[in-house]
Amino acid sequence: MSDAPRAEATVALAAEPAGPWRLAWRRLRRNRAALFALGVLTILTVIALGAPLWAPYDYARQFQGAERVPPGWSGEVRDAANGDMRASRHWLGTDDNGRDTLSRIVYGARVSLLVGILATLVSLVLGVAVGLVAGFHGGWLDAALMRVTDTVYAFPSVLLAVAITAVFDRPSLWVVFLALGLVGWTGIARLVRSQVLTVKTLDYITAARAMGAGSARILVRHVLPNCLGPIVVAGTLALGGNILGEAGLSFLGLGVQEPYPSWGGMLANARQNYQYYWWLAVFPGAAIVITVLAFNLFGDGLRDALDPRARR
Amino acid sequence: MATFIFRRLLQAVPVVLGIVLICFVLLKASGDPTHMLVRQGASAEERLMVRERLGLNKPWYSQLGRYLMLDLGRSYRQERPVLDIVLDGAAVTARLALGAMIVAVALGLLSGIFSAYRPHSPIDYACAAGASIGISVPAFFLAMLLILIFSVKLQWLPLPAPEAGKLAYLVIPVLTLGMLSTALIARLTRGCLLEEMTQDYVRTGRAKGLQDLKALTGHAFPNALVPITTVIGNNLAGLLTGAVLTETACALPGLGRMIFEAISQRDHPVIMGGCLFFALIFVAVNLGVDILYALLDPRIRYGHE
Amino acid sequence: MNRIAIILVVLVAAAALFFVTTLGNTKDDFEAGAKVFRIPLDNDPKTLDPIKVTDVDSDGMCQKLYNTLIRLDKDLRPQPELCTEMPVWDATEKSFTFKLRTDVRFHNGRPMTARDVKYSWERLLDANESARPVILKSVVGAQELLERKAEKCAGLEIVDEHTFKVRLLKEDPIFLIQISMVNAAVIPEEAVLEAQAAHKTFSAQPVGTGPFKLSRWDYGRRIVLRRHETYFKGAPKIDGMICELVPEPQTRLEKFMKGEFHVSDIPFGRLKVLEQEHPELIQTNSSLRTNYLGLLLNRKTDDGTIVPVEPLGTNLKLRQAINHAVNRQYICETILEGQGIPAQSVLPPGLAGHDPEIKGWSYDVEKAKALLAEAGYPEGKGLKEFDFYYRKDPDIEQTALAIQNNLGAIGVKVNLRSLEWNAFLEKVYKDPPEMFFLGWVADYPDAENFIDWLFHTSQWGEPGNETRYHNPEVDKLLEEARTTMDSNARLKLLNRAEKIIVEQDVGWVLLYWKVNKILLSKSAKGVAEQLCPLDVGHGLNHVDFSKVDLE
Repeated sequence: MSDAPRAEATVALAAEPAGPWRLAWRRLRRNRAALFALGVLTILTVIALGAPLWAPYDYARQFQGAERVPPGWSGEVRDAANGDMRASRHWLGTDDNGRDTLSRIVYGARVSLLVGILATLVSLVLGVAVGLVAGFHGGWLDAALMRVTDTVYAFPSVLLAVAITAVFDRPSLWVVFLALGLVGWTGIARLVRSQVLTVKTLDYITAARAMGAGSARILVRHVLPNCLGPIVVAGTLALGGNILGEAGLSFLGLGVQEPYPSWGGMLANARQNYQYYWWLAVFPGAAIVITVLAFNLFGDGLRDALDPRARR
Repeated sequence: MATFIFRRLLQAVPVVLGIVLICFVLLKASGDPTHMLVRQGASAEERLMVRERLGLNKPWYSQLGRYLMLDLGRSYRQERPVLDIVLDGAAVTARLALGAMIVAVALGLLSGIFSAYRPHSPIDYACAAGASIGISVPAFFLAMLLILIFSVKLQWLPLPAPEAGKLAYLVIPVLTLGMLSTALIARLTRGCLLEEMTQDYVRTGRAKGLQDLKALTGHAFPNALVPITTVIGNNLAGLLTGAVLTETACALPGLGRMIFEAISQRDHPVIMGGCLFFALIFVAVNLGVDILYALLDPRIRYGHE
Repeated sequence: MNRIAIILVVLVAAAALFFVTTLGNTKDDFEAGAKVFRIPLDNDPKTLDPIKVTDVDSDGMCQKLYNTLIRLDKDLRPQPELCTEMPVWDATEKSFTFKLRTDVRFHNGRPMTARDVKYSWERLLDANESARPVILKSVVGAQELLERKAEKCAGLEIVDEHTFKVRLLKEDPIFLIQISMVNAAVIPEEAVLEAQAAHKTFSAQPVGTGPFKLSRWDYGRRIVLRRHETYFKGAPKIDGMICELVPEPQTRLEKFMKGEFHVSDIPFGRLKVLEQEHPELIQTNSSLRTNYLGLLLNRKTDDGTIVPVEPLGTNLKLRQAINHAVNRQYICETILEGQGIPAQSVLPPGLAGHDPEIKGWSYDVEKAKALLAEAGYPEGKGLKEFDFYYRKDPDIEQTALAIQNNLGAIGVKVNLRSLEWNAFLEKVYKDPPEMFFLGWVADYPDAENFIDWLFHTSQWGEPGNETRYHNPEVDKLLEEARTTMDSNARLKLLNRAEKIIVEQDVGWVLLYWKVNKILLSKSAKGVAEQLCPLDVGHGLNHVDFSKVDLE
């Protein structure tokens, strides 16, 4: 679901006295696009965390008599929960059940970010584990693990995720991020493996081994830290990919459970009549684009910052 | 060369078998497929009959064995052999993917060359912004937007229908599917070209008075083609398998959508057949790319990874 | 290095060439000026083999290719179709004798005889092929053939070339209605053998007696039918039909508006607009579908005894409160935009036996709150939260959301759980949730298909009684009805059971009867007057197209 070619970007860290991370931060600060993206992401996080504060209405509230009203509409409607008439205004219009689009987009940020982050964590844990073991152990284990990786990679990712969700009793947030995570780890595994293969030959690893350090210790203390840069970059880019993935699964009807909103789910609902009620599709879609764009720009910036060779 | 191809084919065998295995496990875990095959309100005997007809009451290893022998049989839902169904869908998806590839190569290379010709110019920035957005737009949303603008508002293009044989119906799906690849190729082309431009031989040429454009297209471009070709090849496989969402949003009866529907209808033979087909395509395309890559770049030696 | 560029150019050119050359210019199936009726399809039919039909799409196509001995008229009364008169019930011999028409020809030109009927029905009893052998369950020898203990079905007798006799095990008041289903259509044996010889399915090259024959089937795109010139009711007035697959409802509507289709359904949320702009194009017919909110009433313990489920099965007042809390009017008018009528009884209007005397439950929040308090849960205090399962589908989801809101308003907390169809059915059958949304559409238009199938204890779970309703008194009434041949007396028994179910036991939370609204072109003549409750969606399943003309 994430675009594999970029997730596999190879990065080599230059060991400079000032510390690679500080240097990277210095370089990142000069990248305007990345900084802007970071700002957008911060705002998104704030929106998601404080959703009840910013959303004009509750995400599940249905205004009877205000179904599918266009953006900017205001008027008197009946609150389905208690039957009272009350004035309401809908800046981004309402959906088929008379629910406020703006409020649903604000709450929807929670699902997108949460699923994106959790799915990425699952991918990272799996991918790093497989990549480290395969690369470090080598031999038959390497061959076997890489064949498994190839197999999963050869599977059409959307369909694999769909098939995984079909196994579970009902689609939910947990199933969605698990499915995405279980599909998206192959790129990271290959990246980490190639990284490990490079690091393994370095002198100080040989030295550590000669001094009798165990494999696990070498892996965690020496190999892993050297791969951290590329992993962070791949993770950031995978975040954007996983948000797209969540939206895709929701679009196919496999997202979080209604009435809880997700952007992809809103697009899926819009599918039946967006040609007449354009706002049902355009606003949630725009929210997805902005979020993914921010993650991608930030990820690109991070890669440029961590990899001096890529700088121009 | 022959040993190289043979080795790669040998490596593909466990991948294909692995896909059958994963598919089978997922199918078995996703519950009883017969609920939608009998009418609502069918008796237990009727369901038993259906299970017998489909061979579902045989032990699991004999069912798996059949699939491993690539014996797919007939769809549970439709009265047709799985192979026919898969090939019908594949024809649509292939056309879509090829169209997307052509668009992506043309647009991507052009925009990459433009950007590299005048780096940090407004055109370069516009292309970069376009590429960034292209990577961030969900395919189905792009399709919906294009439909809203070109079919509903301007009425230049027809509304989506399963008419994969008519060009007008293919414009939106091809653009949608090609978007991501276009962006990736554009970025890569720009990057490779700029890198080549800093190489000594190009510098020398320019110092000797070679014009920028000529240096770019005559010297840098051919060298940059090697990595670009690889990406195009990798993308082709991705395009074939990634068409599910585009096909769904554009109502095209391609293989991806077919498998998706088969999953929700628990049509096991079609799911199995479709995934296998995808796997074979994937292996074949990757092999093709490797061979092409080897042909293009004499520095690459086969024999070991 | 030019080599590389050449390779790339060649590859791209080859791709482009493939792309362009495979663009089919679909040739027209009919010459200009031909009268072609055009219908959009939502899905490809699963099959065109009548014995395998279980879904609406396949049924719609098969109705145009095949005929049955008995056909239901607009008012759902059985009428002779392939026979000259209605068969009479012989009570002593327990048999029906059909006098077949002598002028019926198959698409291949051969006249139809009693042998074909016997062949077709025995094929319907082939456990390996048939999807609905249950239609003939009361025929003598049917069970033996089904279990392959016999070669032939003893109860199906060829008396002479055009006389066919069916012996039944016992009185079966609905036999004639059941054999009006397309599954019991008459087909020629040689066509089945021909298909087999060509390693094809009968579905791929179907042959029947119907007004149209299959001309072309482009899977996933279109089905083309041509007029059957020697159709026994006279050749159809139109030259043929093109049924085109258009999965997007919005595209169907736009194409209809441009005149590319003669009929269309109405996309969600569009009916009100169309009613204002084009009221003359909208056709309305009731359908035999009742949708309900199912509450799980009973469960079976390991030793098979039936015990009521806490609290929904044990607490009648709670069920009454839920019934009063649901705003059916809002669901019907706003969500379904009039494509539903608040349901008062299980049997939908238009079905023989529909009883307007049965009063369902009105929307009354105050009463609901009071009843909830009487049930022991004032404002929902102390009441558990229920999981409400439904099929993932746009209009069902929106109905479910409205219901969640309604129940929340009186204090009954409900969590929505959507599943796709197969998973939903599996859940309801194997591990029934306490609340679920389900509908029932008549297999065959008879009250028995609702009341007996959905509420008799023997139908527990999967076969139809999904709420696990259990009332010995109702069971007794239903069993009596099963062997009552007098239709009025039979319907009375069913109505008595229905009244107990709805008013006394509150077995279902009735939601709405589905109403079918479609757009029909003004140029299509002879369609609107034929629409009947058996027509679901825009497939015009039960319209006799031999009587249809185009202007």
